[in-house]
Amino acid sequence: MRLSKKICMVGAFAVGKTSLVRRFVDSIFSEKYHTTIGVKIDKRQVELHENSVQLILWDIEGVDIFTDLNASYLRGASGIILVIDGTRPATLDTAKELISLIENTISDYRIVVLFNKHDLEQEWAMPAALTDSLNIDKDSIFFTSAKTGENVEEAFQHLTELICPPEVVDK
Amino acid sequence: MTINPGDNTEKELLAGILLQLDIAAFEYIEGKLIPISTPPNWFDELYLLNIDHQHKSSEYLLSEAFPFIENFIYDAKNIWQCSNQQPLRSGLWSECLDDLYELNLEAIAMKIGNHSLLLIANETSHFELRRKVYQNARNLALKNERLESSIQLHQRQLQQQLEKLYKKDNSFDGVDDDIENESTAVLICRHDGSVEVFNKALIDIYAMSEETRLSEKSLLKKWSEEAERQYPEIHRVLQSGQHWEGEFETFDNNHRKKWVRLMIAPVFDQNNELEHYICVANDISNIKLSAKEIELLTQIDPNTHLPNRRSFWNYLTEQIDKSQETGTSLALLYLDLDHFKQVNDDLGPEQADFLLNAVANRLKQCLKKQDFIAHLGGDEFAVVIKNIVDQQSLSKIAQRIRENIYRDISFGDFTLNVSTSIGIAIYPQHGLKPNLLVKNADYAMYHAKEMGRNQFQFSSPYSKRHIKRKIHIEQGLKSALSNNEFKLLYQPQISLEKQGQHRIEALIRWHHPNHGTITPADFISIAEESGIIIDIGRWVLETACKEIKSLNKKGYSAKISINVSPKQFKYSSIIDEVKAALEYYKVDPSQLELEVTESVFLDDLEQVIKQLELLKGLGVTLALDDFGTGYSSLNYIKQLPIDILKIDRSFISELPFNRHGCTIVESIIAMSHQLSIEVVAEGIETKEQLEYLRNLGCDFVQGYLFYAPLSSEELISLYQSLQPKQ
Ligand SMILES: Nc1nc2c(ncn2[C@@H]2O[C@H](COP(=O)(O)OP(=O)(O)O)[C@@H](O)[C@H]2O)c(=O)[nH]1
Ligand SMILES: [Mg+2]
Repeated sequence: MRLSKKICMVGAFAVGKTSLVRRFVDSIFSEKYHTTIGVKIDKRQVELHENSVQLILWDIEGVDIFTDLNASYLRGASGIILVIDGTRPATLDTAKELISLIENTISDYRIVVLFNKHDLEQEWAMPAALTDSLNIDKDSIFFTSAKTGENVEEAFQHLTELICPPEVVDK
Repeated sequence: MTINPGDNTEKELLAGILLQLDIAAFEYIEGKLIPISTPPNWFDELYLLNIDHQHKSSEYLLSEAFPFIENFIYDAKNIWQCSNQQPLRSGLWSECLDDLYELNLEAIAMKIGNHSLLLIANETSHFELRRKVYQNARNLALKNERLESSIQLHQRQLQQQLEKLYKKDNSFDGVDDDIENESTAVLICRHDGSVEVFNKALIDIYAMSEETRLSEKSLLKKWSEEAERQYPEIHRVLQSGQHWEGEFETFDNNHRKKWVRLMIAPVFDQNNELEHYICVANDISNIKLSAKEIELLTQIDPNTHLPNRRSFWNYLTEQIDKSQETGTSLALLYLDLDHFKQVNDDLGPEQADFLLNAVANRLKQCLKKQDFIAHLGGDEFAVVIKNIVDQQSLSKIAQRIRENIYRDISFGDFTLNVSTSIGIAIYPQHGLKPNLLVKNADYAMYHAKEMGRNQFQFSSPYSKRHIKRKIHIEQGLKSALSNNEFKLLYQPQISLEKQGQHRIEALIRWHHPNHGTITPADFISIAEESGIIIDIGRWVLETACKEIKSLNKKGYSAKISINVSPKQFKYSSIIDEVKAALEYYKVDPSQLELEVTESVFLDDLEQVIKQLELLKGLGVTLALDDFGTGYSSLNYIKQLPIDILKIDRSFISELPFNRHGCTIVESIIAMSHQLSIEVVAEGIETKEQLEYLRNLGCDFVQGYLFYAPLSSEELISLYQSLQPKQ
């Protein structure tokens, strides 16, 4: 029997959603920005408590003046990966808006927040006061880099554990 | 519409349409998705790639294969459950066929009658363009965001630095040196607003003159008033001794509007009294401007970066409203490149894009900044010019555009010239509403094309009428054949030498239901442009053969010559058609003559000669029409396999009094006879002309002096009167 779970990648445009999926699924990274239009779905198997879970990753077009998040894409999601670009303060504001949209749309989901592009120390613009302003459990906040791979595997693993409590997987 | 699976032709038609549109279509029946027709190949490939097991039934397990569809079905069911629902679109999603090939798809749910349908449309080909636009917009937005946050960072650092300096000895003495070369504007004032220190950058933003500089005390007040509109809390924040930062619109000393980002930091003295304000400001007009541009980007052509059709309409509507209020006028120039389709086909899409880019750049170069240029799509451009109405200045502008675009465009290894046709309409003379103005500019452009392209025309009642008529003719031509609106008239040619041979030229007439009789001069060129000439030519051939046959039956043996268009040589199998018609109507080939004009030889001389020789091989004769008007010299005639030559009527009308004309006609006849080519003179109207030609030994004459073009019945009564049946 195989367990599969839907996970949505959301966040402002160009924060690194697609790059994180590429890093997680194909272990690759590209500097070139190739904007996503619409939705692209990828899958990856994750091992958990000696069982495997299939993650179905919905990479959803970033939010900006042209595009709102189409709420119906969130239906049935067990996990949300909310991505913020640590070098762009404005993407934190978008993230806050998205959190309330998600809360109003689905229930029964778990969320992790990724402050991405952590490799760009020079341009880092996210003091602790800001990262704390999100009402999110500290364990579920990760400083990641799709470029170096920092914390990417960990963040996905953590989310998988959150959405698949041991008793579910064992059955 | 109903989908009736019982009806086979309808089913085939539907399958064909779906395949052409690249759509996989399914009907939702009792929880199953059944294909309406065979899905396109890409769809089956994709499906097999995504489904774990081979499917046997006709059902497609789309939800299993595509999580995206699985999700969409929930929303689709809302549509399927009730009738009268608008179709629902899923938005785009992508699937990979392999590492290289990505498909961009969209699902659409709809209800038609009691059928619940799910369509999967392949949008890949339209996708790239949209992606390009969004990519540009997001790149730009990203750049702005970076710029804005770096300005913000810098302002904070600068303010902290200045505050530290003050804290050292409780004064701003010596701060001048630190800020003089700073590109960020700095103003330090006392809490009442009186100025202590400022730098050059501040003077620049506000365009302050020497005198006003020192007395400029009210900036703090001005700022808080300006910012208040967007930040009503600013007074409270400042009074309570807190930091304030924000962006707002401000006016400089020349009353020019600017955007500034301002930060105001209170400074307290040792007694913790609010003593000073440090104000730090940057002109961010450019960022704001480009943010507006980003919004506009979806209204911009991704190739030429000019506003597209949508923003053109917005702009034009806006400007016409403004002009109406202010009582001013504006001009609309409508441009269309000449023969772009050909250029596009020859060059390929990339080079064609390059060409359009070059045209866009030249337009920008030869117009003022405040003139509005749009790329309406394809090879169409539009320009809106405000406050110029006299036709002379507009002519100059149009002329400049025309010349600029016509300059060589270099493609690296070759150069090319493209010309444009320009139509000009002026508000309010040529239209009060945007669509009327555009329509009239378009008519005028069309008129410019008519007049030979590479030129401009102003909108006029004439251009409007003329073009409307032309469009009527064009549309009328499409149904003229099936409505039986064409007729052949027959004009006899008189032999001056031999007796007994009846020669006739068949002339086409069109009885338009609204415009009355239209002569060939008015419709043949249009028919040639649209290609209908091929069908018309075929009809003429058959009608003439029928006529020959019916004359033969009545005992009159006549030779009919018909006019053949160069297009028929180029685009139809004229030889087969002539052969088939001769056989079908059992007409002796020697009774048919084909008339061609010199222009037929312009294309591919050798190829045309080959075709003509094959025609002659069938036994028909060939005549060269309108001789003398065109390109060919007598010398050149030698190469052509023609039997008979028709001197153009323009030479005949001047006979015998124009010496020059006489010389030409004389030498044509003499030379032709040397080459054993017979000569027909057309357009004979006077006895003098006839006598003159008879003396030169001209073989045949044709014209009103003898007979007008006759109907079939008139022709027969003529023959009966001339030569009673034997
Ligand atoms: N330095 C760095 N660049 C990143 C990182 N993640 C993404 N990028 C870059 O950021 C840009 C946008 O990434 P993308 O994944 O397309 O963002 P999306 O719009 O959220 O899907 C691309 O140019 C990436 O190369 C990262 O962790 N570090
Ligand atoms: Mg993306």
